[in-house]
Amino acid sequence: MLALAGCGKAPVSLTGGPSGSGDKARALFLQEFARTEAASRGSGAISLKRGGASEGSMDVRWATEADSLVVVGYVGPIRALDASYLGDSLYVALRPMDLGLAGQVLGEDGLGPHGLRFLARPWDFSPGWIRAAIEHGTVEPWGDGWRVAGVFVGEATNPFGLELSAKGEPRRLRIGGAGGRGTLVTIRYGDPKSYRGGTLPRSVEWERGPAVVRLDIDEYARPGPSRLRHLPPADPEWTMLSLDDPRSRALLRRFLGIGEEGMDGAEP
Amino acid sequence: MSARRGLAASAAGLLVLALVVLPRALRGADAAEEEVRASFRRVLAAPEAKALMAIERSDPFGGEPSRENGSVWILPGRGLRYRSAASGGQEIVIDRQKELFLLYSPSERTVYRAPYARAPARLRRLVAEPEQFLRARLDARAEARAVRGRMRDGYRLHGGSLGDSLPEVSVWMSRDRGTGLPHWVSIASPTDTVWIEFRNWNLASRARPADLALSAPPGTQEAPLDPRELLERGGGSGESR
Repeated sequence: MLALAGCGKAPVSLTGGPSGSGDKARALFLQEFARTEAASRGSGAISLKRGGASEGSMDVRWATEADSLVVVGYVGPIRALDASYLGDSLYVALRPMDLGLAGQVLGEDGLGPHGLRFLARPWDFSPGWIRAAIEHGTVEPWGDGWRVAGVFVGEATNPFGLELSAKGEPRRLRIGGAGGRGTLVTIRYGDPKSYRGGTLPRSVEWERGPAVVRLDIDEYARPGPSRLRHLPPADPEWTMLSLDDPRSRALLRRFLGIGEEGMDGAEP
Repeated sequence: MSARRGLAASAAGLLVLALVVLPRALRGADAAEEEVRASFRRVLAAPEAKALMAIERSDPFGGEPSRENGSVWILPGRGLRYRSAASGGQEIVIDRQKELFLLYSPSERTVYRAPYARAPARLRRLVAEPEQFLRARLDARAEARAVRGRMRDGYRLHGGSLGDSLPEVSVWMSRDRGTGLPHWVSIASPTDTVWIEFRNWNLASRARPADLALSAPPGTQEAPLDPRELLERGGGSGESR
């Protein structure tokens, strides 16, 4: 009852519920996963499943600096994907397809530009609007852990439910659609692992409609801020699509579930 | 991701750079160019050439490089095949005679299939017209470089005319001292560098088309390898540019 009232404290459970304090778990979580990340670098493998069927995978390397994010994808040693997100501008090049997508992410697109930046590295809860929402969320016992429920207020208002272990480790984040309509995206976090750059989940899964994208993180480091290597420009022979082109929408819908008609009905 | 499916262009992309683009730039009469040209001619003029490949790519963000070993079979006029030695590594076949372009992904237990015409144009040209690449131009200049801590004689090739999608690509190659065949190829862009080591070249006097067969077990599921279908499904108007 106390937890439901937002105090976030629950007694030691004799029936398998969480022990300790929900507030403490939340504080531990914020301490570990909401530290400002000035710059980072990482590598791993990303895979896509759609309707339970594998649709391929690739190795990825990424780097972030302030609000900028650059991702390079390889199949074997071959560069297959370039992506950058600088400010509100998104650029994605699928080299084997001689295809690029480019444009500005608009506020009405999903969580908007800031939300997309968070979704791209959903282990970094340091952005002010994310951290504040978690700090002000209500905490309740959830299985053997805790659940923080609240509202992300960005370009839109999106309810969320963040499940934590008793130790304050992230397990699952469900973000609702604007105005609470269904589930926009569900993010599952693997067990935490100590990397050179700090503690991060071993894996992250984004579930959106029938598409599930999984990232297994091999390496994570926090180098000193430095110049991000900008990606090569698109080849003049490539097909370049703007983000609002229906074909771009089709690709994003196919690969990431972005723009899927009809969201999951479950509440976050 | 689908880029991996559509990557058939890519696994063999190194071959494009190392065997297609590079000799394509070969023209001119100085000794350096002749030596480089002769090295590649032996490969492209053989009925069949096979080699082991070790590929190392640097991390554009300062991390450890990635490495992959594999094998390549080149049947000029007929096709080529690349097979990664990595567990779950992929295999690519371009077979002009059978009109096939195949990508086998063991980890997905899937063979992605497309018509030959969907193979990258540069690879198709390598297969169909290998002699064309032996007439191309390359401003080769002798230059020694350190490779794995040891200085090796080689040739720096100006990459501006390579025609690859990566701009400002710089290429360097060295020949095997014993055989004269291509040994090291370095391809550097402003963001990363790829090193390819060719070893154990085997130049056969007769082509074995069976070497173009995928190693996928019988009954492996198949899927189309045509990412442009996704665009067509998406509908919409013309290109943005």
